[in-house]
Amino acid sequence: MAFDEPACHTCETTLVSRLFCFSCNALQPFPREIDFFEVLGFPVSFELKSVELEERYQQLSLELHPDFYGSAPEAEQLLSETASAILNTAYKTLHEPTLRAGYLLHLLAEKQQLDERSLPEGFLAEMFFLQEELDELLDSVNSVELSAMHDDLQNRKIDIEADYAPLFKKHEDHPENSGILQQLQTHLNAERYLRRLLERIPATD
Amino acid sequence: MKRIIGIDLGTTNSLCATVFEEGPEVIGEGENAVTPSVLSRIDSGWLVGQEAQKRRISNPENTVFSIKRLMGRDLEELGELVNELPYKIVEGDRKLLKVRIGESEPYQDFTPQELSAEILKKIKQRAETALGESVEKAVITVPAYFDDAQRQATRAAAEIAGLEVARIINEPTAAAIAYGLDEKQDLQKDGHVAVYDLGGGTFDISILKLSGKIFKVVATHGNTQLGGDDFDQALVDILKKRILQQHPQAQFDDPASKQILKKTAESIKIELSFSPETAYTLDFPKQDISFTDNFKVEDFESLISPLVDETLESCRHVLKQAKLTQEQIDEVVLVGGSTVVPGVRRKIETFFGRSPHVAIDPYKVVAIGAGIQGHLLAGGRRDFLLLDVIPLALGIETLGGTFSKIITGNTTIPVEESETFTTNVDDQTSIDVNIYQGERELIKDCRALGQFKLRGIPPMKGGFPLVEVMFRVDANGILTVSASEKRSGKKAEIEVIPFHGLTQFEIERIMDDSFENAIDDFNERQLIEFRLTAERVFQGIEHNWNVAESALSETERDKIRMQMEVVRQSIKGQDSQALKAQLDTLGELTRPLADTAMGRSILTELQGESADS
Amino acid sequence: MAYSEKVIDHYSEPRNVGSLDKSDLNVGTGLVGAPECGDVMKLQIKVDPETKEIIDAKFKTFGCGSAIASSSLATEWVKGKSIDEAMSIQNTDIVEELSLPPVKIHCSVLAEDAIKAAISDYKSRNQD
Repeated sequence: MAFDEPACHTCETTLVSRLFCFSCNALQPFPREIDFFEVLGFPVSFELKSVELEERYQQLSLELHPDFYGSAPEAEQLLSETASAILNTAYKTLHEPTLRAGYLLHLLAEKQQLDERSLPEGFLAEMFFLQEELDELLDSVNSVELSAMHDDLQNRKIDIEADYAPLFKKHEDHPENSGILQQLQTHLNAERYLRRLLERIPATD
Repeated sequence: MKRIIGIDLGTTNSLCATVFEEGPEVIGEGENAVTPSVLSRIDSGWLVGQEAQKRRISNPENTVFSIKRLMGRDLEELGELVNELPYKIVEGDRKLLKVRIGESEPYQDFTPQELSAEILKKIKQRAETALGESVEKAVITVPAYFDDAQRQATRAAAEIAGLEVARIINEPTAAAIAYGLDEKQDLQKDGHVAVYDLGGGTFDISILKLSGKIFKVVATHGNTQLGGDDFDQALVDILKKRILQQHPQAQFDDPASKQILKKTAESIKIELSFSPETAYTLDFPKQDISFTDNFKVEDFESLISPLVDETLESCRHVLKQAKLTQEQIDEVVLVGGSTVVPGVRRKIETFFGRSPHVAIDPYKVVAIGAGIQGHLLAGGRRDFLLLDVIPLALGIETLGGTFSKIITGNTTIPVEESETFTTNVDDQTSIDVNIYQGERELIKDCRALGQFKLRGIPPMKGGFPLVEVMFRVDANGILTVSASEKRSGKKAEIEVIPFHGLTQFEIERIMDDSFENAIDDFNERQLIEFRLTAERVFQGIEHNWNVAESALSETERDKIRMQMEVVRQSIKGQDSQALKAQLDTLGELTRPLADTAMGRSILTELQGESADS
Repeated sequence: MAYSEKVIDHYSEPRNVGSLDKSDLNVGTGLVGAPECGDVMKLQIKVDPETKEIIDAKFKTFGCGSAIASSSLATEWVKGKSIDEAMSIQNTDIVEELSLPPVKIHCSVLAEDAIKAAISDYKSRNQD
């Protein structure tokens, strides 16, 4: 990531977001490989206050949205459309903790060779077993046991999610320790299997 | 600043609005504000709106309504509706629907896009007359749950009508803007708003989050084939049963009977919104049947109850998507003519546990919101922003008829996602991809939007090319696709073949046709309209001749008689402007009668026409 | 794109769904997963101890249609092959046979991994 104090292409003020200059109100041309933190103007970190994120997203939307470029030159219209699209994706990704963790790990692990499929010992076998058990529960329409299974899986998922913040913090303090990133990868992988199981359990009202 | 008007192109009625100095309001007054979404074929032209509405009974097979339900659909999807409608519907190439006019060959076939265009043209004309300026751009509203094909069809209709679409926005969102920006409404400006929109043919439920200047749609759900029309149809079915009990020989399959039943159902529905019981009479002169009976509001409510429950099912679904409970909804806003039905309103109130906002006329609120959005797009204001979503996931067909999502439903637009494709065999230079929209796992449960062909891929070993396809949904909720081969940097050509829509070529052909015929059409349309006016003016004069005898001198009466003869001659001619002039003279001659009943009705006829044309 | 009958068949009527006796020394079991989507796949082979030929194969997959079709195809292909021949099956063969789109390529990888895992399990249990 090139994040060396980008400046506005017209007034040269240091930019908060790479997409827009709040001091001269100019849309900024941006490179395609721009990262979502640059889009929203936050340091690359898992720590992100959702109130601040929401505020920044609204602030930028009010400047970038194509609705405000109806009578602008076509190039600007197009830029506003692309900028809004990436803003929406960036917000959606950073807003949700699991998506944010996955995205951040992808950024941090670029230079490192992580085992992308790592899982806790015996985890896959357990997932296979749970899937088979879920099949049986779904066949027997056992709503009591189904909701017990749902709650159990949900709790495990919450436990995993609670680990993201401290692990990323630990990585910030010890960037040389690649084991931490591997641990995060393992967590994210495990969470996806849990989600997959949860998706199969019909919601009970 | 060039004005951009807002148009609510409805199943039953259409209207337009703009922001005047005093604030946003519907354009036109009284009857002139609303254009019934009805067309009637006369000679080689169309009557649109009120004029067409009057011909629904007298000329059922040439009078077309509820066109919106056909937009971007195919025959199979319409199901029973095809038999219920009194006009003929056929299916052309690529499942494109056409309305067929004419008893025998040669038929005249019209796409729903062309027919909607006629309604839009009428609205454009009316707006231009009322505003005294030309109108070129508009914000057009569509049901939030309209898919890409239905949106594309709406945009094509506008293009054919000579209107530039500044934006397509969702009806419930438009309503939310109208409420949210109206200082007189005590709507919480920070919180979750549910907009329940039940119109003539479509239903939407949208949840919006209002915070400061931003109106953000969180989730939306709906049914593009459920609305007041279905209430009418349920009534029609009951009416048929009742008549058959007394007249077992009765037949209802001819277009005239269908229109009579439908119109009676409509008026029963309206009556029951105000009174607990209503009497009705159905006359089928050809079958020598006259049937009179009563309808109780309880019976009507239990009749529509399953339909309303279906909408509440959608409400439950959308709350789940928005991860909210009923209690977390701060405000409920009702939109659409069908929410006037007390039975509907009561059920919504119970469901959300709060009384809904109804202060802005539910018939007008969508148009007003669209007018406000038009004002914003024209650069008139910058103090709010609408962030809408794509209602249904977009994706492609994958193995075994499964649907693979590329953009998920309820994603904020505009949005871009790219997907990389490759070839299967050596030197393959093209790839075909089928695009679908929906929320189900199998493509057979989703809508086919079209097929795109990627051409011009440089010949390489199979699996080697990396064709990056960009799926872009703009702020109108409309999809465009572009592609490039990444290894060679070559832009791949993309040809999109829409499955339920018109290609750009077809749109242009229709426009060329209508341009060639434009002058003739205009004259013809005016002739038709003035002839009808003359007929009614004559009727007015004849019915009230006794008044004229006492109020006017012999000479004045002779002048009127002579002028009526002149008008009769003009009616036989082809010059619409001459006819108009003769009618105006007749109007002048009857002016002394202005304070009599006869004079008033004649003047109203004449003024109504001139304001209209 | 129109899929061939054969391909759709693997989707709508997958072959060889089921289990083999895990404790049988001639059976090798491979259990793999795709962290991209949370799919899990179990693929088992039964080897003739004399000829070293795969005489039966079964699978059970919790995942999308493409993952199921990929494993169905993989079990069809390994039957009758020697374990060395089976080892050489590539995911790209599966992609081509099933015309898998890019979003589903990982399903074919999963099937290839499952074959390899089953074979290595068999080998590790029959080292002597």
